Amino acid sequence: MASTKGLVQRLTLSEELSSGCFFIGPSPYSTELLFIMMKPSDSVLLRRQKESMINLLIKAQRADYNVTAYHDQNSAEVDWVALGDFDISPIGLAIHNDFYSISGYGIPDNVEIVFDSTNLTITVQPDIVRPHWVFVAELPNAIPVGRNMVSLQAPGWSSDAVPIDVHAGPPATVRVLYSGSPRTNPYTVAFVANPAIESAAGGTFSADPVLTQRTDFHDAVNYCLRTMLTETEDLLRQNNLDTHIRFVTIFDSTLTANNNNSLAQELNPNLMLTRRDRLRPFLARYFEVADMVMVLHGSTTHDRATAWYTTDNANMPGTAYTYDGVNRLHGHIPEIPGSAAIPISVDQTGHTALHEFCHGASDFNNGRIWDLYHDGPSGGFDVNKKFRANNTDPIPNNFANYNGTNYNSDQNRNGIGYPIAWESYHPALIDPTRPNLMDNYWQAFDTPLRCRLDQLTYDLLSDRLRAKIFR
Amino acid sequence: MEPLHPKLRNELKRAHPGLTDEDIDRYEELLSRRFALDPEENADEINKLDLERIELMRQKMPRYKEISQVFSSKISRKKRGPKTRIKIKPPEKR
Repeated sequence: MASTKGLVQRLTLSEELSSGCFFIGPSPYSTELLFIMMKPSDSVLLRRQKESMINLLIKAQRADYNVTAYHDQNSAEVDWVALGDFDISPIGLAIHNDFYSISGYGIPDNVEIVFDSTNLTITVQPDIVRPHWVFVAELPNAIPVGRNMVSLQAPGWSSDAVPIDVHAGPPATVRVLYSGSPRTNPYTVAFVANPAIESAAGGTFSADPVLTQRTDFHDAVNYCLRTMLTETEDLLRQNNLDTHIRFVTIFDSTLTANNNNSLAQELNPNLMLTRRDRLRPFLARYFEVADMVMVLHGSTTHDRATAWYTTDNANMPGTAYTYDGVNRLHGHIPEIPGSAAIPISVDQTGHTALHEFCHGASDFNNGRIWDLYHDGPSGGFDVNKKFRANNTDPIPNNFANYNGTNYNSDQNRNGIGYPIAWESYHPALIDPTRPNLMDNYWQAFDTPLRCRLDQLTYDLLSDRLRAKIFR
Repeated sequence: MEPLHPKLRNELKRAHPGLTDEDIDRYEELLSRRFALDPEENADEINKLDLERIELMRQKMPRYKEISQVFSSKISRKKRGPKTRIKIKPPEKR
C-alpha cells in the first residue's frame, strides 16, 4: 500500500459525485493525480464509503487540511483517506475582539500565537499560557478576516500550522474557552455577564451596565483566569489539574432586565450578591451546567465582591473523608453551584477572584472555607477556623486531623498577627511570610498576588476538586 | 467576601472620629456571617444580621457608603495593561 500526503490542490468531480479526480501534494506544482470511481459492481456499502471519501476530500480542500490518500503501489485509485493530524487545536471560531484560545501540549511559557495570511504575519502574545492551553482575552482586529494559518511559536519550538477562518464579528454569546476533560459532565467554571441587577429592597430590576461594556467583561474574565491559574497559589494548576477543568463564558446582550435574567442583587451599602437559585435555570437556557459560576457585573456603587458556597446534592455520590475523626463527604454533583459576584472594575492587584472561588467551591454542609479576617464563626462546619475558650488560652499546636494527617496551627497569623481579643485561630500557612489567601490579603508586605492558602485548606480543597473533576 | 482594604479602614476611621477597629471588625463579622447562611433556609436570621449591621453602620460610620465609593473609584483603576501585542511583518516566502 502506498500513500500520498498533502493538500488537495485541485479536484474535478463528475455529476452526482460518481467519480472524482484529486491532485494531492505539498504545492500546486508537486502533486499526485489520484481518483475515486463508483463501479456498477460496488456493493452499497462500498459506494457509501467512496461517497464519504469524496466528501471528506472536498471539505479538506476547502479547509486547507492535509490529507493522506492510500492506494495500491501500482494504481492511482484511492482505497481510503485520512485527515492529517495537528498538534494544536483552536477552540471555537476566531472572531475579532472575542476570546480566543488554543489547546495543545508541552506549550512553553514564552510562546506566541502566529497568524499567517496572504499578506501579513501577525504575532500575538497570549494573555495566559499553560502547558496545555493559550488564551487571548480579545482577538486583535488587525488579524485579517478570512483564511489564516495559526500556529504557536517560541524560540526552538513550534506547533503545526492550522488553517482557520477569522471573522469580523459578532463575538459569540456562549464561548467555550477550554473544554476540560472529555467527560459527559466535566467540572465547569462559568463566567457570566450579569444581565440584570435586582435592587437591595428586592423586586425591581435594572439593566446591568456590563452588557454594554464587553471589553471590560473580557478584561475581568482575563483577570479571574490569571488569578486562578497563573499566580503563586497553584491550587487549580497543581499537577496540571486545570487540564480537566472546563471554562465557559456567557455574554448575552439581548436580554432584558427582569426577574428571570437577574443573577445579582445589591446589598447595601456597597456589596453585590449572586442570586444563587437563579443560576442553574439561567445556564440551562444556554445548555450549560456549571459547578462554579462567576457572575461579573458592571455596578460601580455595589462593587464589593462576595460569594455563596456550593450546596452539594446529598442524594448523589461523593468521596468520603474524615475531619477530626468525623466522617464527611466531598459531594460530586452540586444541587446549587458555588458562585461569586465580581465587579468588572475589580482591583486587579489583589486575589479577589481566587479568594471568592475558594469560598464558592466549598460546601455549605460539608466544610466551609471561611473568612479569616475577623474573629467570628460561620455557625457551621468551618474547615479553616477554630476557637479557643478564652483569648488568653494558648493556641494548640495541632489544628486538625484531615484524612489521618495532622495539620499544625498558625501560631502567629503570620504577616498580620492575631489581635489580643481574638479567640479564633487558623491552620499553618504554606507561605508563613504572607497573609492567608482567605485572610486579609491586602495586608501582604509586597503584593497580595503572592498570598497562598494554609496547607489544610489547600489539601482539602484539592481533594474536593479532584473528587468532582474525576466524578 | 472581599476583605476590607487597610487603606479604606484608615479612611473610615479618619472620616468617623471615635470609630474603633473593634467597631469595624464587628461590622465585617456581621457581614461575613450572612454569607455563611443559606439564603433559601435562613432568610430570617440573615435579616436579623443585616439589621444589626445597618444599625452599627448608622451609628458608627454613617458615611461608609460615600467613603467606600470614593476609595473604590480610586483603587479600581489599578488594572494591568493588556499583554497582547501585535507585530506586523511582511509575509514569509510562499
